[in-house]
Amino acid sequence: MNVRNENGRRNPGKDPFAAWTECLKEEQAAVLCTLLAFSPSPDLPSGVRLFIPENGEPLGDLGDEALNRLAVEWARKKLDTLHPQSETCIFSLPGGRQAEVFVDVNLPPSELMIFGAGHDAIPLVKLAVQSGFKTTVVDPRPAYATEDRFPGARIILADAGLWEERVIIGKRTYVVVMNHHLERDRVAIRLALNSPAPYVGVLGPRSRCQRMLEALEKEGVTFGEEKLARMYNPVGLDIGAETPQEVAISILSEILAFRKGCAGGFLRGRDNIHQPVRK
Amino acid sequence: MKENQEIALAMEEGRRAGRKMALATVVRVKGSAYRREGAKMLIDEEGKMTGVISGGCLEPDVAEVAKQVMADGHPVMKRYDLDEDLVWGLGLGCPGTVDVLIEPVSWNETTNEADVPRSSDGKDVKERGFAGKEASS
Repeated sequence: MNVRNENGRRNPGKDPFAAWTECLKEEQAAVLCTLLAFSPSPDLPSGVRLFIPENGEPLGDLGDEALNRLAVEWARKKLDTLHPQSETCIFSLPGGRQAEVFVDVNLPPSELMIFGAGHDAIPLVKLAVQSGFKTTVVDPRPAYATEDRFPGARIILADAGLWEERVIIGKRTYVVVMNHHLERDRVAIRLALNSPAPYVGVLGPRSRCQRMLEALEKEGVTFGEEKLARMYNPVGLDIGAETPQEVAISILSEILAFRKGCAGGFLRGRDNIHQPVRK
Repeated sequence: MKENQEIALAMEEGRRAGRKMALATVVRVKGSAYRREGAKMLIDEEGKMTGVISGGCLEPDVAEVAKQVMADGHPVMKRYDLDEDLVWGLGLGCPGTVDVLIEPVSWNETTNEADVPRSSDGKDVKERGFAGKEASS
């Protein structure tokens, strides 16, 4: 790749493609920009690359400082969105020049954190694991939270009092609270809404959820609008789900729709399939 | 992004074995297509393929182009009109256009410097213009 030696800032000698491949292997968030074309004149060698990891400095060179800056800015913006997509972008540069750049995004697998190891969590875990979610089940009951019941999932067997320190919730962790237990649900809601989790689904009717929020308020725990906006209750898409299997489909469908920013309705009659409502 | 990881592992394995490889990436989709931008397929010199870039209709042709890419070391940008007979003949017609970048896989800093992706049939890249999304102004 075209790494200019005078540009010490960008680590000459290391290959952006090799660094990108390493990120793919290690399932780390990163963006790889590849120059496809340049106009008006093709004065830059196409195929040069710029690698932007989520945690770390850019590596490589698209051959133009202004273009590098725009690409890094765009990559950072993408890495800050919930579920960014790869795309070919046109960057406009000073002097009426334009660069066409393929912006490829790699993301770590989404995580699903399920509080409650009841019978209704079994089909949800199964679906989530099949769909590529790194899935964790949290429950204090050793008879329920077992690897036999939840193949493919990680189990955190811990009393609610230990969740705060044992359960790590990141910005790509989706949470579903389904303990069927008011106190544990309350602890889970508090933990999840105070975490960076983008989505916190709470099983059960609205009135029950409301009661838990009121109980938390009495304990002095309140949530601002931004935090409450991340709570999804009643949980799931409106597909008339009744059995645990159907409820699991409803919940996971909601999570998929939410992750991509899609409305979750019928596709029937749509001109375009891949059209998120949230940009 | 399990698929990306699979591609990376296959690349590593190929490199260890000293095999030539080409990486095909969907870089632009217009209209309907089975896979979106970022879908990848790795082809090695023995014809082994890892990953999918379509519902099965583009892979054989891409693998064919990849042979040439591995032989001469030049990347190729190829546009597929999914309306065309190639696809209809297989009964798969999706009304869309897919651009696939097929590059030699190389960790050598200097090899790709002067490479300019060119169309395999000589018309695509020049006439393509800037049809991507406007990202910045």
